[in-house]
Amino acid sequence: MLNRYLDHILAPGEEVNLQEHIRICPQCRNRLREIEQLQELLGTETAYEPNPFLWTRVKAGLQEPNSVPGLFPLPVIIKAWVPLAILIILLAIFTLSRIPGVENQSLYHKPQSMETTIMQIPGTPENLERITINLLVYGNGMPGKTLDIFN
Amino acid sequence: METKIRQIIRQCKLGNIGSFATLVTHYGGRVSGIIYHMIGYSSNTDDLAQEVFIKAYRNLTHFRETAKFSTWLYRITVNTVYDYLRKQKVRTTIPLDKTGPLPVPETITTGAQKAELKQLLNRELQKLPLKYRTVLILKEFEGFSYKEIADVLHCRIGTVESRLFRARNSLLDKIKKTNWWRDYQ
Repeated sequence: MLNRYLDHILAPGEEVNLQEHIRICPQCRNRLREIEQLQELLGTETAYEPNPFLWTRVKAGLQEPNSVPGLFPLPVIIKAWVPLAILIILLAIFTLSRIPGVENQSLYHKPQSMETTIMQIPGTPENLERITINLLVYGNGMPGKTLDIFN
Repeated sequence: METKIRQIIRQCKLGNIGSFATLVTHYGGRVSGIIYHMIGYSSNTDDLAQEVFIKAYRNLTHFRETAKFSTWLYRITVNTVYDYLRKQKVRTTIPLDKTGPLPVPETITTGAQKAELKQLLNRELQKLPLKYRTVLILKEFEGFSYKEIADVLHCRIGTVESRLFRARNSLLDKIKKTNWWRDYQ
């Protein structure tokens, strides 16, 4: 209460009551005087004279890279979310490409050309023909498929 | 003045470093004073003051113009000092010329008594826990109000009162035991 009284933050009613109390209480009166003397001593402390070249020093420090705020700076929260958003998008692309039925040229093989050869197999009673079909498949270096059909 | 400060800040945000000089000139004294008293008269005051203003400029984009610039700046100041003291792992910083025993002059004058008592007071001030010392310095040396201190330290006014009460009591208890205080009465 004495500190608040000295710092003038008591309500008017409280202040009057405390003044009355100080008048009759020597202990509080002494304590109040001691705090006032302490404040007086602290108050006589010499103010610090700032360095007159403070701005020169600050300016020199600001000349270093990354010292100037950007013209259209992004708030930190946006900067933190950008890489995360990129990661989520990449993950979504990768996941979708794994879903069956989703057309993806790297997995869907479209034969670009077909070669067919028919050979009769000698010595077979039914004159079996061997039909060889070569499918040259496009995409991802997949090898072609050879189908042998015996007719 | 606040309107002018906001205009300067807007210019700084657009990259006008020259405008920042006005802020450094206006607040440099107080920032340096806070640092000077908190770290105990160290020669690093100017270095730390420079660091405070560089941090302030680099983080201007995060300063909300609805808040008070001075409060924000002093908060950076206090936090910078806290970081410095943590790195130094120093709880008290007493300049070399103040570490010796108090000289006892042959004739004690009122002025000499007061000077020696102040020397002792400053020494004991540096021994206070940092949170009490900060509040005391902001109140007694820099003339901050309770509300301003609470805003800078991001605490309640009641906390400021409590710490100030403890700081004053602690200092008084230390110096009351000395002859200097008895003679000063």
